[in-house]
Amino acid sequence: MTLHIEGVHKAYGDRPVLRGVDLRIEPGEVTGLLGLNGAGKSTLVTIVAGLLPPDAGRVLVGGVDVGRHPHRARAHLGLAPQDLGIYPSVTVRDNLTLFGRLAGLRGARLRERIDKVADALELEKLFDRQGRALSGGEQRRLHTALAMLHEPRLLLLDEPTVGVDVATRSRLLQAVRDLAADGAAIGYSTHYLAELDTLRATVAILHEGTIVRRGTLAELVDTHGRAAVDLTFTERVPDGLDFGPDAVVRGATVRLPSSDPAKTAAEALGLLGAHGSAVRSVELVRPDLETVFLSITGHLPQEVAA
Amino acid sequence: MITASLTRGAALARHEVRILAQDPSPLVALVVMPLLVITFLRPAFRSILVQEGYAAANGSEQAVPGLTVMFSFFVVSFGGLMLFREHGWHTWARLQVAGVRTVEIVAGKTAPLLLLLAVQFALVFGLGSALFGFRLHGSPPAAAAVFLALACWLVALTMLMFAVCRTDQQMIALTNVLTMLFGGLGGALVPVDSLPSWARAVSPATPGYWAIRGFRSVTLDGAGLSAVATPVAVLTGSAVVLAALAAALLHRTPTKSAKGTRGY
Ligand SMILES: Nc1ncnc2c1ncn2[C@@H]1O[C@H](COP(=O)(O)OP(=O)(O)OP(=O)(O)O)[C@@H](O)[C@H]1O
Ligand SMILES: [Mg+2]
Repeated sequence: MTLHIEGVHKAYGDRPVLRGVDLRIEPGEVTGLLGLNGAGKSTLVTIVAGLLPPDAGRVLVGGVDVGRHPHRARAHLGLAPQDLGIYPSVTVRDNLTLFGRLAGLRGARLRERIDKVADALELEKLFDRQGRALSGGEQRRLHTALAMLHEPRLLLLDEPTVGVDVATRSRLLQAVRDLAADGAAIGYSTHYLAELDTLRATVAILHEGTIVRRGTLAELVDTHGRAAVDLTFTERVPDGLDFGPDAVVRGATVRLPSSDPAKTAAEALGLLGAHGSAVRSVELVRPDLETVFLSITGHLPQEVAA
Repeated sequence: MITASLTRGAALARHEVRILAQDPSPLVALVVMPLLVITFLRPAFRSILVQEGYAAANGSEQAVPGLTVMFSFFVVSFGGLMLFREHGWHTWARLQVAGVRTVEIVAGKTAPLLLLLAVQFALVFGLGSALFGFRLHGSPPAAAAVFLALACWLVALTMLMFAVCRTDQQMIALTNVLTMLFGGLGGALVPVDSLPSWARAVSPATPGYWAIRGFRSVTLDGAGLSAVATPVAVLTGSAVVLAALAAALLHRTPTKSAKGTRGY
């Protein structure tokens, strides 16, 4: 089922967050939605689910306008919001059963779906535990499972791997890939770029209210990725050095984007003079999604996540 | 569409019963409060009833149903908490995304209050007969009919209050005031005939009046079904009006979920 976002604007009070977002996600496609904290990823996802009206623009889910026919549009939509939403005082099984029944599942089919998502997210051993007796990562898994029970044709996952351990993360990514292989369109917001590779996802970068980059990983890296040199100092970047307008300083590291990193490294070291002894490492960085993201936003995604 | 709606409402109601079963503390308040007050007021009610001409009365005929009715109003606060905590749990938005309409959420989650009320009445009436010599005297189906009409009225009020109130605090404050007002005016604290004349005049505008009048005719006059027809009709009729009003208001405010929680 295709997701079609057209010219969506949204402001909270007089503070604009989305300023004309256009985005299309095709059936079978996983799209990673990237952006800094506060970029508006959750706002966009909430608008797509019809929980928040946009100020302008529209969202079509399988051709159905979410604003006009929210109930019809939601029939095939699953959303795991960023805020955990589970029932704390009943068991994992009761949580799953409720949402299965609400989706019209019953009897053997309901049990089958519960077993399927429980297997995908490793919830079997937790069936009889109350929601509040789960760890943070376990709660996140249940929370995500509730959105996948009814095999949605459009699945929106807002930072599903926050606080989830490595083993579960790979199962979750596998489950998402399986859904996409079955033809579901998937919107996946995250701060962990490596996940997008695993998901074979396409990328949409949300920055300052619009989608500023859109394409496959390879396309973005080819067209927008620049190699770079990372100069890391032992304590902090010394004052009074001019590395040029493209340099990005993060903590004790200066990143110098460059199409010829070896040459740039040599030049930079020459520039250091007396500060040369304060350098801890020099690293040549190949272009990848991180360098794309950094060149647009001035931050690395893992800094955002931390 | 109607059956899908009922299915979703029923699924939510079943789920809510499970939540209630995990923490039945509301029941303690609903049962213990009337029993305590009955202990204090029964002797006074006895003198009043004897004066009214019920020579054999022991006071429980008025005290037990009257105070159970009065404290039954607290289910409206509990219902409010049950609804508003869905926002705190962030599950309200999830129910909406799961295709549940606001009216279905509210109806599904408040329907189990009927069960809570049934247990309250059964326990207070049962303990009242063990502790205070309470007897029904009249027809049990008549008492059951009055109970059911009152319970439906309370569920409808819960829906309406939720439609009107913006926060759970508001709902609880308003309910506490209504409990005292409707209970006092309805004759739960002193019989209606002993109320000040202005209060006697407005008393029939309160549900407590009709419920207590219905129960009194069963416990004091030994009445059957036909004798409680008027109170049952008044309560049921106004319950339908309240529920319709609530449904209309909830229908107009599909974004109710936005309150309390960020963004959702
Ligand atoms: N209910 C709200 N009222 C006012 N401002 C809000 C509300 N929700 C979000 N905002 C603001 O809108 C902006 C976008 O928030 P949003 O949650 O969509 O960002 P995000 O991209 O999901 O960020 P994160 O990576 O931290 O999850 C932020 O500046 C936030 O402070
Ligand atoms: Mg977010």
